[in-house]
This record gives sequence, C-alpha cells and structure tokens, in this order.
Amino acid sequence: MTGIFSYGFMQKALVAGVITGVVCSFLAFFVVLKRFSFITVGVSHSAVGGVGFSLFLGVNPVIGGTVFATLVAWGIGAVSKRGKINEETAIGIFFSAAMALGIAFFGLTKGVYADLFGYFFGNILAVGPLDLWILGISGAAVVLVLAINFHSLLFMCFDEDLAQAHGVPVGPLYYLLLTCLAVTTMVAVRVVGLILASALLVIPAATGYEVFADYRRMLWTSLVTGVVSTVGGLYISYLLDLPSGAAIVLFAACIFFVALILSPKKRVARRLSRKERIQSNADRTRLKT
Amino acid sequence: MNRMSILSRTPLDRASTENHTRTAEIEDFPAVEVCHVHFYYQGKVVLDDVTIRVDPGRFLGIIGPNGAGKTTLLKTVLGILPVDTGTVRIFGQDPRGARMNRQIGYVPQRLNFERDFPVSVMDVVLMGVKVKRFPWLQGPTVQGLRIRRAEELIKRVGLSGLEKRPIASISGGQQQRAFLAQALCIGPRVLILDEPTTGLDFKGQREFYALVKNLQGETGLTVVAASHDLEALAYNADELVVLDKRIWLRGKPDDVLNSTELKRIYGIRNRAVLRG
Repeated sequence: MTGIFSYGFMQKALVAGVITGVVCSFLAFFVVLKRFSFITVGVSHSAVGGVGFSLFLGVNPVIGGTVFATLVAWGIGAVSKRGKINEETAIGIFFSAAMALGIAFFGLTKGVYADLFGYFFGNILAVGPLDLWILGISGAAVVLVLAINFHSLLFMCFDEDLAQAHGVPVGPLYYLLLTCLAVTTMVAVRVVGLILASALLVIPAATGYEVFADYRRMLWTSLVTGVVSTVGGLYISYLLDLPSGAAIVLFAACIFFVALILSPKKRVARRLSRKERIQSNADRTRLKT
Repeated sequence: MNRMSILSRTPLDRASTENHTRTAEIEDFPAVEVCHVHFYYQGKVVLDDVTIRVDPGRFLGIIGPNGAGKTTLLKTVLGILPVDTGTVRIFGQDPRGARMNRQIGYVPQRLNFERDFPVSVMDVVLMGVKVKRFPWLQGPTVQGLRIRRAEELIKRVGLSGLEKRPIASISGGQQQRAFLAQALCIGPRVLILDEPTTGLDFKGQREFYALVKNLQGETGLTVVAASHDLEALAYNADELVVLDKRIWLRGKPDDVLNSTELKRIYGIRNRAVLRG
C-alpha cells in the first residue's frame, strides 16, 4: 500500500483525504446527535448552485460555493426556526431550487461540463497545492470552532430549552453549526464531491453512535472511521480505478454495516432488557404468591 | 459530610463570575421579583399584569389549569422570554444576567431526548458546569472540585451507583432527580421547577418534592415551582399563587386550597383535585 503513496499526486490526495476525514467526522458527531442528517443533504446539494454561479462569474468555485451554501443553510435555519414552514419542507424547497439554479448556470457557462463530474462526485487525484491550502485553513477553522464550543454544542444537541436555561446561546450556536456544515461540505468537495459529501458527514458518527453509549468513545470512533474510510477508499479507488468519492463512501458504509451487525451496545441493551424481563417475571410471581 | 458545602458556590465559581455582586448586597433584594408583567403571543394575552415577589429562602408554588401561562411565567423569570411590559428581577439583577451568572437552576418537565443519546448520569449532571469555553484550561483542581461536587449531589439525590449508566436507561423519576442534581451543580440561588413531576407516579412525585424541600431547608435556596400536583405543592410550598393568565389568588397553601375561587378556575371541586 505504501508504494502508491510514493507518487506526488497521491501524497497530496492522502493529505486531502486525512484532513477531510477528520473535519467531516468531527462535525458528523454533532450532525448525528442533533439529527441534522437531512439538513446536511440539503446544504451539500444546494452548494451546486454556488459552484454553478461561481463558474459562471469566473471566481473560485470552492469559495463561491461556501458562501452560497452558507446562505442557503442560514435560510433553511431561519425559515424552520420561525416555524412558519416545517424544517423538512424548507430543506426540500431550498435545496432543489439551489440545485436547479446551479444547473441553469452550468448551462449558461461554456466548457464546464468536463469539470462537473469532479464537483459532483469528487476527484481527489486532481487536488492541487491551492486546494490543499484552502482545505487546511478552512478545515482547521471548523475543527477549532467545534472544539471551543464542544460542550455547549453537546448540551444543545441534548435539549435546546434546557441548554438555553443554563446560559448556552442556543440561537447563535445553531447558526454556527449550519455555517460549519456549509464550510465542511466545500472542504469535502474535492475528495468526495458535493453529492456524496453528506455521506461523510453522517456515516462516521453513525458508526460510533451504533457502537458506543459514551459520547467520548463515539467521537473517537467517528474520527477513526472517517480517516480510515478516506485512506482506505483512496487506496481502493486507485487499485480498481473507481471514482474516489464513491470508493470512500462505499468503504465508510461497509464499516457502518459491520458495526451495525457487531454492535456491543445492542448486545448490552438486549442483555439488560432480558434481565429486566426476568426481574419483572420474578416480581409478578412474587406478587401472585 | 456537610451538605451545605454541596450546594454553596465555591470561591472558584465566584471568581469566574464577571458581574457577581457581593452576597451582602444581593441579600437586600427579593430573590424573585415580577412586577406588572404582560406577555402576548400572536396577539393573545398569555400573562396579564402578573406581579410576584419571593423572598430569599422561600418556596413559592404556582398552580393553574393547562394554558394558564405557568411555563411562560417561568420562562420570563429565566430570562428566556422577554416580557412585553413590566419588569423581572432576580436578586435585583436582569434575569438574563442572573442566568448567565449561574444564579438560576432549572428543572424542566420530563424531556423527550433521544433514547440512545450517549451521555451518562454523571455527564448530564456536569453538562451545566462544562458549558464554559475551554473547561479543560481551568486546571485539574477546578475540574476535580466540580466532579466531587457532582458525585456528592448524585449521592444526595439518591442516584449513587448509577453515575455511569446511560441517562435514558434509568427510570423517569431517576432522570428528574438527575436533572435536579444538574440544576444544583452550578450552585444556583434560585431553583425553578417547571412541572418536574409530570409523568411520574404518585410515589415518584412525592419523593421528588420531599427531596427539593429537604435541600431547600438545608441550604436556604429559593424555590419557584409550577405544577398540576396541587397537593404536593400545598404540602411543600410556603406560599401558593393561582395563575390563569393573571394572578387570581395568593396566600398560604391551606387558604388557597379552601378558596371557592380555586373551584371556579378549575371548574371542579377542590378536594377532588387534591385526591385525584
């Protein structure tokens, strides 16, 4: 395996993969706990609009996509928080409209069709030095923001009202989380693409959630799953000549299903419920006698 | 073990509170003061000229039918909902500031959190004190003190041995006691209880209020509790108010419960409410 990473482009791909794996799986921890999976899908798909608009204007699509995805994420948040439109309906409207806008701009911009596949499904082998810088800086910013607000975000995911009563600024944190979501989607664009970015923002933490009943272990499992998936997927992509995004997401999904089958948490739950059943039967028998 | 030490604010907490007023000054104010508060939601009156005063160390019970505005009133006291007119003060401070300064503890109705949410009883108790940024930068002494205080509180609310159990795996009554420990862990001066025994059985309700009353007696904590459980509140509170958009009755629990006004508000016989 080390042989393939002796190539310069593969080294860059490896660095990009590891950064993406860490950033996505750290944010995925909160996405899963806050039940943000559908918002994540919405935000990542809506970034297509930003990329299309940026290409049309001739600006950097990653930066344009980030700004656009952030605005869409805030829009979804504002509409659903005011309670006038159901959150899922808002996501459905925003992301389909944003995607349609992106596709319209792709149609208006000549000569971009060759790049589209890379934006939609990732092209990690085309990562350049500038991409690495953007990835590194924005990824580090997301990790830093999440680390600083870790316990407040955890409390908010547990219960918003209770967190607010304890002085947690729930409103600003909600929008901060949405912003991190938009930035991270664009961090992942080169590695897995816009369409598959949401997978890396859910699967690693869902694996940890399935395995452990302790948030610290869940977080570590998420980080390990994220990094192993990107590195393993990258290797498989090179070996079988598959698109990198698809290989990485499939690798992560395999890890999730293995965890689902072997989950020790479920075994403990089964054992506890068996124990409670036996106890309750014993109580009933005692009452009868 | 000196129980007073569990709930009293540590010097470390005091030092970290930016706007902390000296205790001597604070004691000159009522613990909770709600003056002529009006609150409207979508054009409808929820609170109509509500005035309440609770002195330090007293237990005020708020009763009233569904939709009477009990939760809204408590949320204005917490500073979560801004009032349309009138003022709310906690020890002379703005409630939002008092909440940020950790002077208010809050126990909600039973929460519908995710069944598999990966936090233990100990994690829940410590959640309120960990929300400060960079808690790990506060050094092992502060962290150690907080963990010790959390352990003492868990013991005090009768959850010893359950510290590491996932919060969702314990009973509803135990969960509410864990949230009580969480509220007390920040070292508040005022404890707000919003129908904390909803969904608990009769024994669970009685045990919960008995525990609150004991803790209040030991520490001089001010308690404001809203509940449907008239009997439990009447037994434990120093004063009762009956709220139905506005304050209809206030006084000693026996006087309030024997009032004919209560019968009108609830639309049933008072004693039937008590026995039900």
